Amino acid sequence: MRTPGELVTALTERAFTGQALDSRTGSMYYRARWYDPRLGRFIQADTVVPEPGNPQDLNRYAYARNNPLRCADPTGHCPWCIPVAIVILKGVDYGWTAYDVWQAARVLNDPDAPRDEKLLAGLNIAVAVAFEAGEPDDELPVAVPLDDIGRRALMVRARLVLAEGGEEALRRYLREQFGEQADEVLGWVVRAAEGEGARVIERHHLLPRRFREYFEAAGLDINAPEFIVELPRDVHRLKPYGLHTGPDNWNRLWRDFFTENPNASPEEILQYLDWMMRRFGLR
Amino acid sequence: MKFYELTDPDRLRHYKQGEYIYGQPKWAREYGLAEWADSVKLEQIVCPVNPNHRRAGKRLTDLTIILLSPRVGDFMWTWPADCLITDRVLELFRQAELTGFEVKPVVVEKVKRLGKRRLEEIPALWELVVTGKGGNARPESGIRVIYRCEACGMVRHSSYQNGILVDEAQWDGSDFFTVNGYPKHILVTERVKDLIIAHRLTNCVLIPAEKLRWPETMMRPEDFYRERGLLQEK
Repeated sequence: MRTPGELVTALTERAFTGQALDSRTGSMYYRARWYDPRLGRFIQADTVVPEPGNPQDLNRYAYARNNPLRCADPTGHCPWCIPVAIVILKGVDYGWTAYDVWQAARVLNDPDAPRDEKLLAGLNIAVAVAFEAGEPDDELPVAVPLDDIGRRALMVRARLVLAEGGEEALRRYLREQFGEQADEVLGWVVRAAEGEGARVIERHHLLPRRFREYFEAAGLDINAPEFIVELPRDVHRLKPYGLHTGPDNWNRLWRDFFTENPNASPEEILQYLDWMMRRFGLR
Repeated sequence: MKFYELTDPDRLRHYKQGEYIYGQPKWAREYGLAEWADSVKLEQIVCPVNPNHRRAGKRLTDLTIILLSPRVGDFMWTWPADCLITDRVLELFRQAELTGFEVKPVVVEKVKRLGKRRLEEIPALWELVVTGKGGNARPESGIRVIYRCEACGMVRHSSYQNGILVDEAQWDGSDFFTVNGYPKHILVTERVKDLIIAHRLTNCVLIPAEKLRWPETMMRPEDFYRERGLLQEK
């Protein structure tokens, strides 16, 4: 009768689950202990009992709970290693994608996020969906987050391209990567980046509330219609060009004014307001 | 003697490294500026002759503020440029027997982004009220009276062209003081500067008084009054 060990010896130096085979003794090395295929048993007791409540685990000379078709034990200790590893890798795969999509969605919904960041966030979501849908490992009993690694590499390159050459360079890069579908992808990305957040009309107080007491002492009502203008959110407070962004923004220039002139008269305030409106393109 | 302006890191927008002797621009972002609560009120001065002279006068209430974050530096500043100090700084000033200031209590009404911390955990703050007098700045500063209303007492000074130069003959010798026309510019002596640097006090900036520059974004008052034909200087 031929034992499994004889068959394997003839073909390779590696045995079941890829363990090393000692051709001299015919034993297999399982890291924690040696296995004799002719006996169908380990020749040393297992140094651990994975689940003391499982009677199969109490036989410390058995291989993989005497069920090699369902279980594997590459280390000599753990019959569930491969299924557990598959579950962990699946978790990493889906978790990574989900985390990146969540982060990208946050950027898209952030009214203060710059347009370039929104473009990249939209692209990240589009690519994540496309890659995840076409991932071959979903059909196989393995899960390696190759799609996430590839997507990250693509996004790193896209960020560089956008920073160096702007949106047109990004369009060319996407055409290289996705061919005909690039325009469709970019169209979706631009629509996402210029979504509701940028089109909202907001009320801008020309006389900031932070200095209300100073304005009111000068007889100016900050809520009077002539001191409120309606502006798109991106003109009002979105980076990079919003009135309330940057170091010399609307409120900080008023701060400069009141630092130099804390008891300004209405005429002085209105003259400064006129200058401010010209500076920020509101006149 | 050398004098310095004690100010907030936000002002460093107008200065390059090397123009100030102490402070870090990043403190402006880290600590932010406190806002006045609605309960803070200012006196309104009304001119009996010229309605255009209506303006803010003294503050009628103690400061009640809203902090932008629970992070409190040794100094804190408000949007209208009030200077606030912690107990620790007040104790240092008192131990060093610095002169020219008094303190008023500050009520913190609200702290944004407080998280799990409680309002009581925020360090006590005091408003640094400068009482020292520097008189008129030296003429070389460019600061001079350009308009005066006898009816309501409104006085306008021209901008500073060569920093704010202190006339030691008019200065009362205080460690903290202001010059006429620029009450929001807190000037300090070398004693204050040395103490701040020695204790590495945070969220404050020291700029040599002679290097102070008029903000490029601001029209100079002398131009404003000249345009309207109101300049009174000879």
